[in-house]
Amino acid sequence: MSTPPPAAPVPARATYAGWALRIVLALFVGASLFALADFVALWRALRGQPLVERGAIGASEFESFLARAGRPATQAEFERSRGEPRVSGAAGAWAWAARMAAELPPDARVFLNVPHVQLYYQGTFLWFPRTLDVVTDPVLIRDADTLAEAVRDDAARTDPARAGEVRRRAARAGYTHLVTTENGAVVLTRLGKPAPGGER
Amino acid sequence: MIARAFLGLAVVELVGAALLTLLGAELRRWSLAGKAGLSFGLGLVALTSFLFVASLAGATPRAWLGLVELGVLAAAVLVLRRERLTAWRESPGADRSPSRGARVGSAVLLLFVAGTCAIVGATSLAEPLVEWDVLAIWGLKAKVLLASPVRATDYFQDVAHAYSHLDYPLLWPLAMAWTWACSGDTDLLAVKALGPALLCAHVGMCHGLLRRRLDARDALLGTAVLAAVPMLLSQCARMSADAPLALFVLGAFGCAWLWLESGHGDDLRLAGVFAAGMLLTKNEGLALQVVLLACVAAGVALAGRRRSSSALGWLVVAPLLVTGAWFWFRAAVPKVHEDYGARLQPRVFLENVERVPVVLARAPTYLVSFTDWHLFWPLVAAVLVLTARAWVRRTAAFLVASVALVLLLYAYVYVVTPWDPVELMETSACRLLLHVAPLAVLAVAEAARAAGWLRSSDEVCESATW
Repeated sequence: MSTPPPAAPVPARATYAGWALRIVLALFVGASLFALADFVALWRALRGQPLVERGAIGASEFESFLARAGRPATQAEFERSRGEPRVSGAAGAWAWAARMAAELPPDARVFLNVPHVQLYYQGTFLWFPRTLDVVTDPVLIRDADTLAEAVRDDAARTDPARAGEVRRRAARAGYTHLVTTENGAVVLTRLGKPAPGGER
Repeated sequence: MIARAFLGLAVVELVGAALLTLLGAELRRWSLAGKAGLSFGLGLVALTSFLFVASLAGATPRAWLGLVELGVLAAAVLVLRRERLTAWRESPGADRSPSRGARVGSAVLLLFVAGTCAIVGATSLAEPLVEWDVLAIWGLKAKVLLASPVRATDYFQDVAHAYSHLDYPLLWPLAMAWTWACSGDTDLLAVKALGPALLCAHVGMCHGLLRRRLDARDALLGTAVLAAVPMLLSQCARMSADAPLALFVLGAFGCAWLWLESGHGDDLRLAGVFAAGMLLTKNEGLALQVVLLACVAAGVALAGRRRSSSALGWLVVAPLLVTGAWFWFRAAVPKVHEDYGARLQPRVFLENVERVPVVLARAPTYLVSFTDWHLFWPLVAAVLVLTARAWVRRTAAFLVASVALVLLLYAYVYVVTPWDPVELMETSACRLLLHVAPLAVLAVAEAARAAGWLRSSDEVCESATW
């Protein structure tokens, strides 16, 4: 380590500037207490809740400031619609997939007949190592658009009248469960008979 | 389960501490918090690199694997570098006879930093893993790696999972897999123990770097500034991979800069390991490594010292050795997303040059996003402008140039991206800014110190100029 040279006198102007800088930095640090208050409020909202409820709160851009972090447009939209009842697609998908994870057997193979990208992402993660496929053949799924494209050309998948055909095809392909929509609600059914508690 | 996850993170810390002892001949130059922060970063690189090689050899992450690595490193310390262990008790001393006001101020700052880590940690641990891109990209990979070795799984060839970016590096997923391996289950809460640990590592490493240049009180103030950046707190709490990348950027650029100042081999060796960490965390690490090498090359040239061979060895060869297995494996992974390596060509930039004003016009939205940054970036800009005459011919210019070049590079990427730049900026700009935010704290502190606004530590040699 080098030996420090004798300290040079610090000009008075630099000393004043230094104190001004320290005060500004201290104010910056003090301002972060507002951010910490948000953390405390979120912690209080999460505390004591069951896991699925905590996840639903955490995933919702309308209930958790962390879900809006780094997205100024989302933050602005939240401020504009503050107080209005809003439903988060990501939170709904997380909570539903987390609840269904307890229903699925370890070796389940699930066919997703709902082109909902959040459901595909969250279900794939939360149900792993069970498989979740949106098409029976390997196809590139890069984002919501490619997911929609993958099912768009299959008329049976978008026609409620042909739901039985989709069930039979999925069962023939070796899937044990099917995710589909009935009357606007996402439903998980065991191929053969409905899974207990599978409806939302 | 969470307690066992923290035990796993203690192993990460100890692996890093052993590596720090092997690499650092003069550990007493670092504060205790600095040593702890450096150790966690080094431990992440060493443990996950080892787990990846083990995965290539057919093993999945298990607690015994980490304990074996820890045992080997601890034995190496005891046999080769036993005398360095005493340096763990030594650190830069407290300020000489501080006033009562300074003591109270320091206590308040210390309380603020510790309280911030505790509050963010408690919130992080109360919320399961829910950030959709964290679980879709990094969490899914962690579960895949925990279930089967990399060469036995078809995940890395399955384009139906292309949304999870098959070719993204595996340091963060392996850190998650390690936590799960130690906790005994893929618990959505236990894995969140990584968040507060990472925040503590940020704070510790920042203090260590600042204390090398500033007196104890000002180093603590700088550390508190970093702990007050909302974007860092939120991304650590949500387990975003940008938070560990920011830690490695701070370590790599910060230690490389200290090496330019001190010429001490310890600093260069640490910079090399953290550079490997950048490469193993996100694909942006490649671009960051290029910026690091360019800035170090310029620094060596301007300093007029013959230190290029050691820099080449530790900043190029060492990271290549650490990351070689990953890049070899990655070569066989299908590239089904944006190929930024090819798109960085000037031709692609010129084809999209009309986007430049769009990107420049949008950039301030993210730099002054009060919710995410408070007034962090305007404050950084103001201090750097006001102190420009003091730092421009000193090595602090290395830090300022590094931050500026990384930001310019990211702006360039938004011009050449195949996606809509406005939509992409909305979801990624603040995260990219986070990569250099801790480094910006270091740049501001050094610029203010060079101007005489903040007080130097005893280690600083004022004659170091270009």
